[in-house]
Amino acid sequence: MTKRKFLNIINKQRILIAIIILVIYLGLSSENFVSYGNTVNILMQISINGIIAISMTILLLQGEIDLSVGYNMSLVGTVIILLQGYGLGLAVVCGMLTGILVGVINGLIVTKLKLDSLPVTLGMMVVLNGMVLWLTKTKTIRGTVDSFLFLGNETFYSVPYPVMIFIIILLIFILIIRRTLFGRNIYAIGGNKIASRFFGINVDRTRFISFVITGFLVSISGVILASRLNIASPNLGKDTPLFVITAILLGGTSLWGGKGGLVSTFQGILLFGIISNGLRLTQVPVTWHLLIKGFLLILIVSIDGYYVKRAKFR
Amino acid sequence: MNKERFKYHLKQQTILIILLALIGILALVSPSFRDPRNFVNIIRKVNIIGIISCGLTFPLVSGGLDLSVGSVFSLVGALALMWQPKGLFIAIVIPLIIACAIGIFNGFVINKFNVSPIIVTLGMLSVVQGIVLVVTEGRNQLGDLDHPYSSIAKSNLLGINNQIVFFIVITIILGMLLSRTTFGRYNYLVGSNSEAADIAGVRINRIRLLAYVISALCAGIAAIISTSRIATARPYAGQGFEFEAITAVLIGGNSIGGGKGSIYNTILGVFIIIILINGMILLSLPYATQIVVKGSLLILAVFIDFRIRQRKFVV
Repeated sequence: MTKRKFLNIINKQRILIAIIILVIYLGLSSENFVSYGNTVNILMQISINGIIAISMTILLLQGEIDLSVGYNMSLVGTVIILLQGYGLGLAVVCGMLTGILVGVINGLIVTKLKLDSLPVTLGMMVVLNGMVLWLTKTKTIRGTVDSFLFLGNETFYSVPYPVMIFIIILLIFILIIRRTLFGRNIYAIGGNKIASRFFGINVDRTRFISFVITGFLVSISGVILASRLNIASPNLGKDTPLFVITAILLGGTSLWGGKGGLVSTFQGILLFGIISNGLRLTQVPVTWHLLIKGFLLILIVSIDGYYVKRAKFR
Repeated sequence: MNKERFKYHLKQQTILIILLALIGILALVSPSFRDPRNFVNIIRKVNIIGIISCGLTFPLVSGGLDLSVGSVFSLVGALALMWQPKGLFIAIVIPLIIACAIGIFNGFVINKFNVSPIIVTLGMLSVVQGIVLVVTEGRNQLGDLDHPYSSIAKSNLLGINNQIVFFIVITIILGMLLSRTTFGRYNYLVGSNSEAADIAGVRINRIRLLAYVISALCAGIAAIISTSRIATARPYAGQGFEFEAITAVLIGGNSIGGGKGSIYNTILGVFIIIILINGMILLSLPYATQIVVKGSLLILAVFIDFRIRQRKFVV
């Protein structure tokens, strides 16, 4: 293998290498890190954000974004907790319909009114926050039905349900992205929107479907979140967009569309999960976490931007 | 003045008409709105959000956006009260310099790495909020009410409260800066077509950087005025201010795409938002409704902005 080829591989797999280095470092410095319990713990922590990251990747690949995911998840959870008394099935269905409806509204506004998805979903984020505050009356509400807790807290052959759901959804969407027309169209739109329209791709429909998928996946993570914590609170989901976008960019998916994929997103979210876990295990004070994660986001988008800029000038 | 021109001027002042209508309706419906004390209340709120929004107008006009103003507000407020015992100068100047440094960092990253301003300043929002938490250890900072620092907002100049004086002076300075200086005009150029501006010899990077510095500095000044009045700084004091400011700026008729807008528009937008919220409080609508209305207003503002831009392209 020549030197150049070797460097090329390193450059392409830099996330994987970062994960390996981090795992070795944490494994040496903290005795609790390498254990079955902690591994499951990390997977458990990334599964809720991971499911959202799948849908966000689909949006980012087309150059769209959805900042309302966090409060949408929170709203779904709130609806479920509040309706629990009327029957668990009804509550879950209503909650998921709410989440999907938000996705539909986002999609309709972006495609029919032809607005930028960033400010629209920013506004939607504030609206949803208001609705959660209204539903919870700004208080934390505890769930009453204990049978609902199994989904978030129990295990199937010692694999927690959330992790299983996350892995299954991830595999399904990897297949969809790689093997279907819809997946092809997503990359085409991200590469060049106008050209894809001229090639007969229904750009608006693909974008609309992506927003609906986002609503659907967000509502699944809302169900898991509600089941895991068994509370509805206006503070849930506040930092979700930041974490999800950071993780996706960390994986190497570009903000500008057309570059990246779900495998890189999985790597990114795994790396992000390991970093969060490592911060906790090495006893970095909680007050530092937000600072470190925000700085990470800026650092990564800078590197991403640097590569884009360099590629342009070549 | 003929009819055509009258119609044109009427269209130009749509926002002002909406504002006056809003005031008229609220004054009719709610007796407590007419109370002079409520007027003071409104001015107090307008003053803080107004200064932040006026600063935010600069990045917006030059085609960017600054989401970190709320966190900068929290940081400067906390630092100012922490360093109050060390003297007035340190308590005011050093936090403002730190605010400027945050603005420089924002501008630098956006220029150097060509990254979307929204993402950078979103990251900066958490970084600065994180710094606040680290510095204050999550506790409220309490100031001394007898310290000269507290008299900044409380004393009067020629019989007018200093808060109002500050607000008027700052808006006039910023308004002049944006509309009467080369720097201000270049902001519009960079916002409407940065490549053309670059070719024409405008130092676009410097203009953008300065725009972010102004926005961070204004957030800092607003924080000093606010903490000087209430002598308390919560670590999350500025949370949500960025949305209020952006909504105000957009409602006033400034464009999110850049190249359009003025301080005058921003102030009208601020008054609309604040009076609307004030009215909702007086009509005792729940807090959650206020937030829903705020968010819907933001979407509406984006929509109106888009329609105006679209019409411009067609004609």
